[in-house]
Formats: sequence, C-alpha cells, structure tokens
Amino acid sequence: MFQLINPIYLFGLLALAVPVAIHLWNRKEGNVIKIASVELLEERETPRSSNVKLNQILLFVLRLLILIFLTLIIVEIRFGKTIKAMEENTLVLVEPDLLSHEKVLQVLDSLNNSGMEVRLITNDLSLWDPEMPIPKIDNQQNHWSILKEANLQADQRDRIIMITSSELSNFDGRRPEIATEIVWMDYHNNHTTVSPIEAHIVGSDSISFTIAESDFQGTSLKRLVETRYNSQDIPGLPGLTIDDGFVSVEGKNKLTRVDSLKNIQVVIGYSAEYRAYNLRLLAALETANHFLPENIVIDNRIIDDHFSLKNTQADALFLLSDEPPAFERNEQNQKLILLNPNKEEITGEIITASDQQKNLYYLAPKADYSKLPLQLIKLFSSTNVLKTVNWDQRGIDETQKQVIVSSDLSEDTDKAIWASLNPYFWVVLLLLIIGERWVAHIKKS
Amino acid sequence: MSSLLKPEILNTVEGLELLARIIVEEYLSGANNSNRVGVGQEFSQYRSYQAGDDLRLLDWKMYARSERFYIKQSEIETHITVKFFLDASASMLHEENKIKKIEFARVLIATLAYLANKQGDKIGLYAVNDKSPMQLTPGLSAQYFHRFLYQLLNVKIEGVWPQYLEKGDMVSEHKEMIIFISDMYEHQDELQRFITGLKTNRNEVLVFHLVSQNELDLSYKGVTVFEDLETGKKVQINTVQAKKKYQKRMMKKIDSIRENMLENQIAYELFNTSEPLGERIFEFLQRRKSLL
Repeated sequence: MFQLINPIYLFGLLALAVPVAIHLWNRKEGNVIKIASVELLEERETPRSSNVKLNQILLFVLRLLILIFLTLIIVEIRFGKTIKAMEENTLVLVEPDLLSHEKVLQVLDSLNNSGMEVRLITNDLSLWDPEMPIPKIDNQQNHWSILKEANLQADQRDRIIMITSSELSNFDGRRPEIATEIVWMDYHNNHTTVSPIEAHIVGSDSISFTIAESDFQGTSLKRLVETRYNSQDIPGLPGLTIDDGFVSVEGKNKLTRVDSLKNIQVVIGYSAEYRAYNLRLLAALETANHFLPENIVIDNRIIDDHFSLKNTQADALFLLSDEPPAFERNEQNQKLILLNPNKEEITGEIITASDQQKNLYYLAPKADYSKLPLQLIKLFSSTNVLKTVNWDQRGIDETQKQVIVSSDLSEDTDKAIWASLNPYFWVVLLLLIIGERWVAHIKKS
Repeated sequence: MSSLLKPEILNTVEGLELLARIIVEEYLSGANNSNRVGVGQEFSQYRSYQAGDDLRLLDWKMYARSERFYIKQSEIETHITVKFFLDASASMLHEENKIKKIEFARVLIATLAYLANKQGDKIGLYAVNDKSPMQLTPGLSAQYFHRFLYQLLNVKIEGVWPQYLEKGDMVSEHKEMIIFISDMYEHQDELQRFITGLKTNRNEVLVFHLVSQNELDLSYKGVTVFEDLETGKKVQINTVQAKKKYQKRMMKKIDSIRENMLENQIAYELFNTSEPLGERIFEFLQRRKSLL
C-alpha cells in the first residue's frame, strides 16, 4: 500500500521524452566517422565498439532512472508499513457469542494465521483457541471498558480489530480515549429474537407475557395473554416453556415463578376529616392497579373505635390521620405510609421515604395529586420481572462507535504507519548520479 | 586549380580531361621535354621535322642523303607502356574536405595518363579489389584516352585488396612503367607483396602512396567513434590522447613502406591529398626528369 503526496507531479515523467529524443536523434545522426583504416588506432587504449554501445545504453538508462527518481522524489511516495509488521501489533477482540458463526471463525482463522493475537471479549480477555469450546458468557461486556483495558494491557497497539455484534447494550458509559486505531467488524443476527421479559398470572388460568421482539434495527414490546396455563410450550413464543409454574427460555434457565406474583394487600385507615383525601388516594390506587402487573386489593376503613391493625398481613398501610394508631409492624415486608402535614412537598415527590425507618414513607397532603398514581406504581413496582440474557438486540449507530483519539499519540502513529520513501530515493538518486558521471567518464577516456 | 577539384568536375570524363590538361599545360608547357625523346639507345624510327623541334635532334646524315629534315626517334618513348594500378578497395573512400581519396587518385591518374598519352605512350588501367576488379588493356589513341577516363570513372570502389592475386598478364615482358596508386592499407602484407612482385628487370614501378592530412595527424576533435571502411570495425578514440602515438605509428608505417619499396628498387612517392595536386605532380616530374 502506498500513497502519492503530490501525484500531479507525475507529469514530470514526461521529461523522460527528452533523453529518449536525444538518444534517438543521436542514433539517427550517427556521430561515427568512417576512415580508411583503424589499424593504427590501438585497441588497447580504447574500449571495443560493443563496449561503446553498451556504455551508451547504460548511460542512457542511468539518465532515465535519474529523471524517474527525481520525479518520484517530487511526487513523494509514502509507503504503508508492511502488512507483517502491522499484524504483529494488531489485537483482535471477538465477542464470544459470535464464535458460533462459521464466517467469523473463518475470519479469525485467517487473522490468527497471519500472526495476529486474537482474544475474547471477556473479563480477563482470554486468548482465543480454535480448539476450545465456545464459552458461555452470562453477563454482557461493556465494550468501552474492554477497549480501555485492552489498550492498557498491551501498550500502544497499532490497531485493534473489534469483531462484535455492535449491540447497543454493549456500549455503556463514557467512551474511552484511545491512541490506537480501532477497526470495527460487525456481525449481527438478522433474525429477530423473541424474549419474554415479564410474566404474571391473570385470573385463574391465564398468564400475561410482555414480549420483546428485538433485532438490529430495534426492539418492540408486546403484551400477550396466554390462557392455557398448564401448557408446556407456548405457541407463538418459541423456546418459551412453563414448567411447574416456572417460565424458562429454551429449557435452560428457570427464570421465575409466574405465580409468585401475589396480590398487593393494601389497608387504608382514615379519620373522618381526611375523607376527601381518602377518595383521591383510592382513585390513584385504582389507576396504579391498572398499570401494575400485580393486583392491588384494598381494604378501606375509617379509623374509629373498632379500627384495629392487629395481625394484619397487608403489604402497605396508609394511615390518613393526624394521630395514627400505634401497632406492631413488620418493617421488612410492610410499607407504612403516614401523613406528614408539616412537610411541604419540596422535591416534587409526593411520597418521600423516611430517613429513620425502613419502609416508612410520608405523604405530602398538599401536593399535586395528578402525580400520585405514578408515585404509587413506583412504590409498589415489583422487581419480579423475567430477566433473560440480551433480549435487547438493538444495534449501535456507526457514528456512535468512534472512540476519542488521544491527541498525543495520533500524530506519531500516523507517521509510523506511513513512512515516506524519499530518503531512500535520495540515496538511490545520488548513487545514480555518481554512476552516471562515472560511466560518462569511462566513455570519454 | 584546386577550385576545380569538385566532385561534379571530377566525376565526368570531360572534367577529368580538362583537369588533366590544365595541370599538364600549366606546369609543363614550355618545359623542354625533348631531351627525353630521341636520346634513347635503341633506334626506332624517323620522324619528319616539325617546327619547334629541337634542331639538335635533326639527323644531318639523313638530310645529306635525302635533303629532308628527319628527326631520329628512339624506342623508349614510343614503346613504353604505362600501366596504372589503382587500389579500388573501400578504404579509398576515405574523405577529407569532401574530396575522397579515390577522386584524388582519379585526377592523378588522369593527369599522368594525359601526359603519357600526349607523349605517345600506351596507357592501361588495372583497378583491383576482391569484388569487381576491372582492367583496361593498354592502348594509344585520343579515343582510347577518353575510354580510359570513362573506365576510370566507373571503377567500383568496394571490398578489400585480394589476399592472393596472380599477376597473370597484368605484367608483360616488355618495357613498361607501372604506376601503383594506393593508400597502402593492407590487412596482412598482400599489397606490398603484390607490388614488390611486380618489379622485374625491365620495368619500372612507381608507388604513389595517397595520404590525407587528417590521416597523418588524426586531426579530429574529442572523443570520436571511427569506423573502418573495409572491415566495419568501430573504435572509440579520444583523439587528443591518442594523437601522438598515432602519428608516431603513422610515420613508422610510412617509413617501413618506403624502405620496403626502395629495397625492391621501387620508386615511392608520398602524396598528401591536401597539397595542391598540380604542384606535386610537377615537382615529381621534375625530379623524375633529373633522375632519368
């Protein structure tokens, strides 16, 4: 690989026509004098005629070469480092998931054979061995941190080739500052993967699924309600099975127990002066119930002489009273939400957590209640969603994959890669000129 | 005279004759050459007296017998045959000032032939090379002289001097004069061997060695490639450096030829083609006259 800095000066090669023309002219002219005899002209003092011719041709060629090299020097050819040298300093990083692709394996083989170091994108950047089985990587690797690590590990690579599926989920955080040239080779599955990301029981015999259909272009979420609760395989969701109440993907990992989603028991106690307030809360809970997978069961009571909280199993207790009754509370499982008339809403949060006690929250009574359902959803939102590996397969945009090129090194690496041939050409030119003078001298004497 | 030495004059019969006549007339008119006539030992014939003849040559005894004026002529001038041997090898194409050696040789031969013809000598021409040798048996008449000049002009100059050349009938037992014109370039000794072979007791052999000035002193500039006219061999020479040695060798060669010729009783004459031809011939003839 080479590049010309001033290719326009290649026109200088036209100057070759000058010595060629002179040569042809001389041949035509014939500066040979015919004399009666050359017997008195001693051979010893002069070169043979064949030598003369040879000398002339040599001189002619030398002069052409001088012109050629002069042109080349002006044009300035820069030659890329030999591929060999580049390979030696090239690191290939490959996503382990891609090792199942035949194409990727071929590429890796050829890269490995040309002496490049191939490593897997894992925590320890283990070396790739064609013989070894494809490792199963559960957690995703952040490519940015991998690149940072790779750059530190081998100081100043000339080039890192990243063979990845370029999924958006693999790029997180701040992009690294790297002096090395990064070459991205993308291999993505073109087929769409369907993954369940959430499931819960609806009614007595149905399961509601939230399905993610994801490919390189994007991800769409769908909600499906499957009525045949006892069915092993779920039609329309390949690989997804329900076994003994557990939802699993491709039979490998049991993800979650679908029926573990229980109703949320809410007990509301309110004193008479907070009746209007109670109604708002009920409306907000109704709204939240609509959005939450769990069913919210509300036990709404007025605080009077019969009101008792003994042995209550409620998940959450709303006590809308200036003097809430005391009771024994399970701090681990029960959320207690109290009115906090003194506390004005400051942060925009209607429900704020207490600093002192776990699962203790305060309601700001004078806040904007239109936000209350959202805050309730937050409060009750269960962590009980199905988490499958890499359900989000969206690709990252090409422009988003650029690393920050650190300025101190970029200039140097550029020079190292593109070396000008001019110094060599100067040497050759000098030798040619010396040679030309020498041959010309021989010719004269 | 030298202004007439132009190719267009040299290459026609008339021009050549004119040149010959001019040279002869210019230098020899008024010269008294009758001492050569009639002084021969062997009586040949009587010729009636013509105005202008030397009175000393009158045969008074004849006059007493016949009352007529007769001049007694000897055999020398009548029966002598002049044979011109011309080296027609390619080396004669050597050129100086645009005049080739062969052209110079033609004028030289034409002049001497004119003179001989005028004197009543038979003239013959032998042009020799290995490719197209040409010979014109000696003859004597005004017409013959023209034919002689025509043949002289049509001599093909090519090839080399043949390695082995039989004399054959080129040399007769009679008294004759052989004028050999050559540049004396030979590949071994074929030329000198032939010339020395021509010499017999009864004939006279003259060698006119033609050299040009640039041949004598190698007056070429700088580095030059020379090509041999006969062999085609090319030699590149720095003439400045080679000059001295060349001149030395040239002189040595001339001296050795002269020596060889004189040893064989052959007259040798070096003709420099750059010198005025008429003067040279005249000078030569004067010398000959005194020798005879």
